[in-house]
Amino acid sequence: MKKDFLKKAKSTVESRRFSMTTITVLVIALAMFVNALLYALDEKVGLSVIRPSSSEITLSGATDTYFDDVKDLRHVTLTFCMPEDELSSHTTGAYVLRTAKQLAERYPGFITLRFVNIITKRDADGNAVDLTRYQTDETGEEVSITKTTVIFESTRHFRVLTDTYSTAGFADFFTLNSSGKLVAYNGEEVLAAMIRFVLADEHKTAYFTNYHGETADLALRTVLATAGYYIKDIDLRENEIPDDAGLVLISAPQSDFEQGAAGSGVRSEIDRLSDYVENGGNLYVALHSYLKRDLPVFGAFLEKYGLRVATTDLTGGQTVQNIVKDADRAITTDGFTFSARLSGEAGDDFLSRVGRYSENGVLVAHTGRILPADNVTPLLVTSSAAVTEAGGAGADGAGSYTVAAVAAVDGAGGTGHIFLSPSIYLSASDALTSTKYANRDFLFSLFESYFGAGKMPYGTTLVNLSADLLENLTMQTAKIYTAIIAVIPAALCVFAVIYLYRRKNR
Amino acid sequence: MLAIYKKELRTYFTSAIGYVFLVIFLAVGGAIFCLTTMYSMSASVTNFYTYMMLFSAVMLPILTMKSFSEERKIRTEQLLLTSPVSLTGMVLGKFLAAFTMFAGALVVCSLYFLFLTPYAAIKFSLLFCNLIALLLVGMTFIAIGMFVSSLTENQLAAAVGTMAILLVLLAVGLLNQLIGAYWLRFLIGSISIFTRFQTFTNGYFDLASLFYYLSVCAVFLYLTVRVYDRRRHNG
Repeated sequence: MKKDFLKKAKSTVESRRFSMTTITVLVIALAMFVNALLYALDEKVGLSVIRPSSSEITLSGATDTYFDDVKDLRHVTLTFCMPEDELSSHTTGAYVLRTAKQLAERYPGFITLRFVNIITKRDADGNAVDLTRYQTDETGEEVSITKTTVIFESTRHFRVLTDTYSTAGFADFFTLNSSGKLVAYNGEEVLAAMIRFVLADEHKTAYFTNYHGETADLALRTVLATAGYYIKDIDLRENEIPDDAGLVLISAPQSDFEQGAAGSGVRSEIDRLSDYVENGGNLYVALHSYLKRDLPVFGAFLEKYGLRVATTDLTGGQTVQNIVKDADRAITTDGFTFSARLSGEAGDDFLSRVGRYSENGVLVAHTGRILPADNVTPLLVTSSAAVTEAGGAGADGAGSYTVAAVAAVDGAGGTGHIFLSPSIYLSASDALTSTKYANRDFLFSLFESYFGAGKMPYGTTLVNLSADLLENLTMQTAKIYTAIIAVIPAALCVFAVIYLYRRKNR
Repeated sequence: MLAIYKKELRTYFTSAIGYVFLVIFLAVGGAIFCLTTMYSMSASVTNFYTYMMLFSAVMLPILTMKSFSEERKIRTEQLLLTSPVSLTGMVLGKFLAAFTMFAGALVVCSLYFLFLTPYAAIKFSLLFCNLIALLLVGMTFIAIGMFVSSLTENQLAAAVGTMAILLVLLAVGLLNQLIGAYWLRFLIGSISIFTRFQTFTNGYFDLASLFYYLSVCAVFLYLTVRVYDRRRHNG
């Protein structure tokens, strides 16, 4: 029957003298039509056999508690500056879209999504949208609006998140490591925090100091934004600390601060910091992990409030301070461990030194430690199993090193707090080194307990993307693999030359 | 068809072109692998295959440029046209030979990810998706290259023409983002090689995209057969 049909079709075509050109055009048109049809079907119902992990992300349920006091009071609109179809196939945007849609479904009437085409400036219903009013935020700062911008808006406030530092886009919803790689997706936390941010009655600003070689810790800035702060930079050489400063951060300074001459009448950086803290201000200090020189003025400032850092010499006289978040090999009571990062061959043993065991317990290759005074509350302390190595001469007694602490400063203007860590790596960058404990929970608790920040989004879904990171691969091993990979085409080239030469001369 | 396939494959390995293609492909593929993984401390397969797709758009025209152009130039195409092998069989034989060269080289490059297994949890399902995607893209590129090769006797013109077409097709997917009208964006997205490829690199084993690549490949092979069919009838 099939053969008869084909014969009949063929004779019909021949009898009507369809040219091959017509048939060709029809074939191409049919192929395009079927492709368009399947493309449309795929968009609507999904024809995928295998789906990636971004489609398996679910909400944690923690937002029920987080939104408990606000969700029945007001309404929030999330505006994406990309059409929904394009966003759903965006490498990082697809994650954010999925979570946003889940939140909108879970809290109908509280959260609404809107998709705007930034080229045409129209939403999905064809309505014109004025994006220019979002280009200046509520603190007067200019904000760029790009395709990966997300705008949160209530009747009271709006907040714009625009990724200006990664090529992937939507980096605010991810955790980046020190190399700028995406290690975790924490969109639920950021979306929830920004929703709450635009519903809050007032906001505080976190100021990062500049001009001392400070490190731009993007993960810390993201956590601060999540905690409800506006973020700005400040030059203390020229400016007083503004009244809206809820927090001042000194992130890994490499050069010392200015101390004006006594009685000169000129206000120095240290004067400004002292006044700020003694009037109830909050200061977050993380020291540079690999700095090999002292900062006498800054050190004296910290000592004045009961905080002193002692550094330990490593084998070979190198001095470094480093904390790595690794609860599986924890040597603190709070899930942290310490290691030295050395250059060259010793540096290649970096990770092998983490959790190295000595006869007396877990070896702390090196860390700076805080020597707290009475007004200082230790926040991270080593466990009794920790042992330090001093000068390579064997194990030293240990057990109660303080590696993060907060000092209360009672002044005329109220009680201020100074948080100190000897390492900048006590931040959100290593959030997922262990699934048992997260740096960002530590920071949220710090902000909430000591810095007076509002409700924190604990317990939201965190998706570990760090399975993509190569661990324990040293440069030496990488070079060996590179050489092996290079040998393959080289050997083929030699073989080809010999073979073709012999063939030619046969 | 099998005879043509074997003959073409033998030609690749008895002349310089096959070895030149393999050496360059493996060398550059290895460099891309090292730079996107080990020296970036990342086990991401997506970056590697995306760069390999762009590299293939340059390399595959070199592989396909002589498919039919050389036959025309040295006047052996009459032998092909009068041989007992059907035109479809001839085209398919040459296509499969070129595809075998490409697939073999790509599989060797993909095996480099085994080096990384002690250092990261390689998502082999994602790697498989990306590999299939690039093989499908390669099939499409080869089919387009062979079609262009059948139109000219100048190998250089065939190579350059194919590269231009492939780069335009890839660029279309990028320009799509600038278009406001949904219907136009939809239409371009449905024919964009890059958009379809991204679907696979995001981990979706997409039947619609699979059909897309197979149909584009089939259409260009069909067009190649039509070119030779017309040439046969025109003498």
